[in-house]
Amino acid sequence: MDFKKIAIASAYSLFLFYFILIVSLFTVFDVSRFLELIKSERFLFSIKISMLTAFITTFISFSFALPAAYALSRCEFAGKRAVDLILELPLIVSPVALGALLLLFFNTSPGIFIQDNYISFVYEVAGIILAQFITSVGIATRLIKAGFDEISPRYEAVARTLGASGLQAFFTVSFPLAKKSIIAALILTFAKSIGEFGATVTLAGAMPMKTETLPIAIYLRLSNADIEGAAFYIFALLIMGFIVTYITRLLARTSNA
Amino acid sequence: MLNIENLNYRAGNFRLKNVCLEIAQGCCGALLGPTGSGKTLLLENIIGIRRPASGKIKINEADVTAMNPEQRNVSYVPQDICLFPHMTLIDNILYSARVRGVNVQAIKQEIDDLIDFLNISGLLKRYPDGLSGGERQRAALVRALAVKPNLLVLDEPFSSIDSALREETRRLLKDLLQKLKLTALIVTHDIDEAYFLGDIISIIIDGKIIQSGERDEIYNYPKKLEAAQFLGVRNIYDSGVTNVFEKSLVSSWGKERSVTISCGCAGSKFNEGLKIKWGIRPEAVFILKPGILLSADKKQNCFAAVIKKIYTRGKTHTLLCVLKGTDASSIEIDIHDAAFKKLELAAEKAIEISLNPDSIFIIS
Repeated sequence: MDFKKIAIASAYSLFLFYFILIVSLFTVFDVSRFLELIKSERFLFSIKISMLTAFITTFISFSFALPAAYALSRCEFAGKRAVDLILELPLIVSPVALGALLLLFFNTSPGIFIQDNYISFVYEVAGIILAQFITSVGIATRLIKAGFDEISPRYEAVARTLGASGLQAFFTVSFPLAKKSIIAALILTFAKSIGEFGATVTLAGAMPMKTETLPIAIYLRLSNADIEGAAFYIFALLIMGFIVTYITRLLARTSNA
Repeated sequence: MLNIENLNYRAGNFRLKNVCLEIAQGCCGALLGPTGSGKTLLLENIIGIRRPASGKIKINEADVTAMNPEQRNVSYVPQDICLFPHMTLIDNILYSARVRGVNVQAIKQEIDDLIDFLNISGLLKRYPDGLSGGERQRAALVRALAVKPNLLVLDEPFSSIDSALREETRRLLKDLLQKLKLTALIVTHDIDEAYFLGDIISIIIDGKIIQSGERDEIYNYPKKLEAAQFLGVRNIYDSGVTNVFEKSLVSSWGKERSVTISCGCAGSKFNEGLKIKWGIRPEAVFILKPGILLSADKKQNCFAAVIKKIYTRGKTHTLLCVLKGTDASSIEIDIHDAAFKKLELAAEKAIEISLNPDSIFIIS
């Protein structure tokens, strides 16, 4: 058997693996329960809180990731390697550990000061956003940086010599050229935020109708041995994931055209 | 005009050292050097994306050393051309006017003239991706010249163009520079390109400009060994001065020969016994027709040799010859195919060569 055939067989086996998992969901799927849950206030709350926090996280992550990625790709500055390294944290440390790190921080004096005087994160909705942010911003920065890395810095140099300021050169040349990576980073941040569980449950807790995002709802249903309920929420999460993936591909195709 | 005074710049272990360069108004300077010699680094200092550690860069008498690239009015065409791929050619061309807030209608006629001159009027609505190297180069030139720069800087401008189109594009650029009377700097490692386009040629090696001068001066009289070697002088010899006259000198060549070298003020610059290096271009060595009778003054630089190897490149042949004598001095000769055939040259054939004293140069 030649290598190409082995490679194709591997691809099919991966597809099969996930497909079986998805199909197994339907073995516990109850239509009457589905109709009941889809109209329930708790489900709508989970959808709403998941979407809202994911949107806010995406916006905040993007605000930090875009300039940071540009700096890491284009500029030389003291401590650049340290910054680059620390952005790998979400990749090498589990989300639960990141959530625990946040929880520990809010037990220190600066953390308590922030909680008392500005904004409360522990067991609050703001905690969901912070947990999602800490697990996604590093990846978003990396993705956008990879986009900038692919663009020759000479494009910007040419734009500058043609009269553009640094900011104009960025927004008229580098930004549109890195559009594909930026869109991918935005959507991945959103998708990762929607599905984030470990850091969220550690920092914001699993409180019904307060910090009950979709993954936390699945966790709560499983804790109560509500298998049909858990299957319904998993199905909802899968649908949202597929929609996000579809939009990503659509946008990528549009930006390629 | 461009004037660089004692520019120093460090990038890692590499340094530009006390670079001085001057290009008069309306002239084209060629910065010639091998890969890794610091050409592009110097260029990036000129356009302003790098700042020198010391020294001054003046453009039209104004000190621009501390200015940002957008304040210098220096247009730059990089090696990879860098037309913005997400814009059509016309948007690329009008980019400069738009970011500077210039009324496009006010400069429309000049841009149209450039578009016509460089023959890209049929391509304006196309994106750079589908264009040939030559078309992209011409579009990049229009973009660079759209808002009348004080200086045009081109980095290896023809490297992405097929050899068939290269000559045509070179001529187009030369005509354009002459038409617009624009001050320009062309960075290249191609000697032919530098000789063709540069009114002034500067040779940069290892971060240092080792010689700068007019085309003929650089071609005929490279002053440093590195410059001579880079410019393709393959016959370079260590020797000692044996006689000095008012306008020439005699130098040893190996153990058994001597050559007469013309030099304007030999009497005041050279002493007997002085160690020198002299060189002659392979194409400046003549092969004498067998049986030809020479007058006594023309016989002074004639030597017997034997052809050892012949390399052929198109219509030119390079002969590796060993001079007759015990020291086995060698010389390379480039000869055109017609002369090669007429003289019936072949390996191991004995020939007589002549070195014109005016074609020999002394390397300091």
